[in-house]
Amino acid sequence: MAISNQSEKAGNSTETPEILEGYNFAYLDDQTKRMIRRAILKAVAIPGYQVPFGSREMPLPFGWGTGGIQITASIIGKDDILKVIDQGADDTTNAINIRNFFGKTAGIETTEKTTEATVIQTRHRIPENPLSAKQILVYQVPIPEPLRWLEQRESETRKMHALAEYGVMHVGLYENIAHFGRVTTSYNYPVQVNDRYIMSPSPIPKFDNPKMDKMPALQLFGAGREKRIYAVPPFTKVKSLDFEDHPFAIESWEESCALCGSSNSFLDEVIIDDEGSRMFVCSDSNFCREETEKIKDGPVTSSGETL
Amino acid sequence: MYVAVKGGESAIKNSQELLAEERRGDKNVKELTLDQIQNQLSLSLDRVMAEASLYDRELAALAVKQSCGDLVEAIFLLRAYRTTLPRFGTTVPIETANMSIRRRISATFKDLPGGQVLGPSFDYTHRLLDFSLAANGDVPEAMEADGTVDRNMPRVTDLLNNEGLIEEETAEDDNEPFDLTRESLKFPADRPARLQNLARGDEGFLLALAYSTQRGWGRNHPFAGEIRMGELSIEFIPDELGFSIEIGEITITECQMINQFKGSSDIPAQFTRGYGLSFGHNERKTMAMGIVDRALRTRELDEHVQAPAQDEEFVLSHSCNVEASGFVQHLKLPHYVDFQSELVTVRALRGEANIDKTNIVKPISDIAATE
Amino acid sequence: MSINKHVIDDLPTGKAFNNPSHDSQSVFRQILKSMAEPGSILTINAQLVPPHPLSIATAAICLSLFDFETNLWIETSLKTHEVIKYLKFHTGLKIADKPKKASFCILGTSIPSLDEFCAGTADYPENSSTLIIQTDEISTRAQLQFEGPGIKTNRYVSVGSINKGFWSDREELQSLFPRGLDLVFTQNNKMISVPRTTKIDVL
Repeated sequence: MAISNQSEKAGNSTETPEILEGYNFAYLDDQTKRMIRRAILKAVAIPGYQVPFGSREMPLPFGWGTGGIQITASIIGKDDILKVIDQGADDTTNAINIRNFFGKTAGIETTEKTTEATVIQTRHRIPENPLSAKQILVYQVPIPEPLRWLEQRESETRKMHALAEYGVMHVGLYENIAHFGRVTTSYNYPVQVNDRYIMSPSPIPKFDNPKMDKMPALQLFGAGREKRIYAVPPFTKVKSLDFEDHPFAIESWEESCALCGSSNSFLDEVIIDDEGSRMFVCSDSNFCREETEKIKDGPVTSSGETL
Repeated sequence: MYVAVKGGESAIKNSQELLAEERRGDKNVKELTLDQIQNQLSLSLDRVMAEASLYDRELAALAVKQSCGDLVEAIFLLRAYRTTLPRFGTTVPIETANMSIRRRISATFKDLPGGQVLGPSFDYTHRLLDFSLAANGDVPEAMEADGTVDRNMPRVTDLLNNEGLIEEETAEDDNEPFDLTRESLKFPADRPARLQNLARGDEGFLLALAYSTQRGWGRNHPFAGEIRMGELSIEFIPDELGFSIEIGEITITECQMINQFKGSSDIPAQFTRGYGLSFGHNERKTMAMGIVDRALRTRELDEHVQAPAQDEEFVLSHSCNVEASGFVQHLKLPHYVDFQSELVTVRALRGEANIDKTNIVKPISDIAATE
Repeated sequence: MSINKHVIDDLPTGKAFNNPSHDSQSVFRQILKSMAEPGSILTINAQLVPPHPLSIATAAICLSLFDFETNLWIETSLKTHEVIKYLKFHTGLKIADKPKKASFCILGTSIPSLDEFCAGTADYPENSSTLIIQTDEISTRAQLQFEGPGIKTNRYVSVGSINKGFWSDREELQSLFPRGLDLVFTQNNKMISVPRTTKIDVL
């Protein structure tokens, strides 16, 4: 058994990670990629249906994006430009880790610019900039089954999907309205795809749901631990579930972003002192930076970080 | 002045370096070698290899070292490595009756062909801290058995089977068995799928489930028919040769549980079985596995699912500690966006309920009730 | 020496991918785009020399997606010794004796009744065949009108002359959604995909 001294390479601190020797392009072996590719094609052919696949253990923990990583690894090639975001930001630890993983194992170009990327892997957000038909959006999904909270058994939910028997979901939402006067689901808000399958949009805020509808980019969803892949083809109807007297509505803020001044992006709330004073900033870090650059005289330094 | 929190590449690198430092500990203390781990923490390796589904003592030792002795982390490391390995083929199935036995006990017969072989076990020790170990005490040589262990060690269940007292174990069909490492589990799961899942399942989880059946939550009256541990050679038939060659030797623990009998007016009463098998020396795991395997056989044996240990979706979906550990701990990842959505919703609900900020916070259910 | 001769006899003619890993990836991306945008004509740029009568696009799809886990059924007129040798050698696939048992089928334009193929179950609709249909024309000639997921308004294409009744049989099958068959038409190095969701009007 050869245990090579890879540890010698550790501690090398360059900006772009070194390509890891001895692993396949984008880590996964070709056979695994083929299995995943076949699953992706079926997912695209049956929009919103969760295709089971032989998910592999990845060198990142389950729950940390292994489904998204396996999809990205199976689709990217040498000419792709990859962007990875978590909570809308390119610089959160999970996003950096995943970006570095592909930098190390595939040596492909990465970017923070939404418009430059050909493949965008995301956790919990859809970028604010509209995506194009040349892009693929890969979602990391923790629990792919939208009916799971109402029915724990896969054997039962599978039947419900097969027969499009979604009464339980509508009852669930209606009980919510009866109790609170409104649907209180604020993220992972269920959608119906192409008037057929009810689908989990992954835990994006419902603010992002409307962006999924008729999106020009292909949307792929990967749940590694739950071993499911599903998809929404471009220009496909994605409707957030609602009732006539309780139409679907998204979050809004009275505040604007303290950095770029945007009043129509999703805002993160930041507590800035012991008194609990708050400020609001864009969750999409790239969008915020680009907006900030547009306001040349704004109260922001050139790095876009400091006020 | 506000500075946005940057996860930062350098912060991540610093964290990794701190971990490496903590792993090494005091540099005045000699560093552990893989040899030492392999030889002196062998049961840690056995658990890691079993739940990682990879038999390689050297790599398991490395995983234990790298994980600072955190065995669930070590299992994860070895599993992740396992998935990168190409598959050359499938070995000839092992035949545990041919095991070169180091330990073999039966709780169902006082004596039997081959006898009871105690072998190495904690079972006959007093659980007193042995301070001589702290003082690097030398171990007295264990006495060699006079004469070799009996080669004829029939499995207890085979003996019972001769009399027709226990159900036969036959394959459900001729199809290639399901392969958990390549396909996603489907429900209802057949026994090969269930056993594969339990074999790599978390020892603690299976132990608790097995225990729960003993306390009445899906009781199945187990007897430890036989537990055997020893070495088996692994054989492989290369396509180009057409005959089997020995490619290595592994340690295996097998547990055959003999359970509550079944019978009807048509079929005479027969004992039923539960089966446990594990890489390495791993009696707690194999016994728990045997009990849980039997508990999960409700469909075949016309039993009702009444307890968690009998519910295959519950058991099989939550047995993997690599999955469980990852998902529980993923809550450490940022969730600010979802939390912000919840804040907006809760504030709106409170606004609708006209709650003054100075009021004591009431449970949400009370708020709704006042509407 | 007889062993060597045996080995050489078993080698397929033709040429496969130059770089199997990267070529598979780039071909897959074309297939993915094709399946995600039904009616778009995509071309395969891989330098392949498949044995007659496999088209370049058909061969590229096979080499990109198939392996030992794949059961392929080939319609008799295309099932030459050389084709099977080429596909087996480069992918390790298994040949199925009935279309129902196959996850992929390769066909010409004379297509058997759609009942012959596996359309999956309502529980597991993905356990269905993908049909790769070699045709004599793939063009933007307005023979068919496509509508559905992946299409902004509609697309107009021709996939050549398929046997009579095929499109109406397919429409009938669509009432069984999510069960269904996904189709990929190929000609030379071009392809058009028709997933089960695409609504087609014959003009």
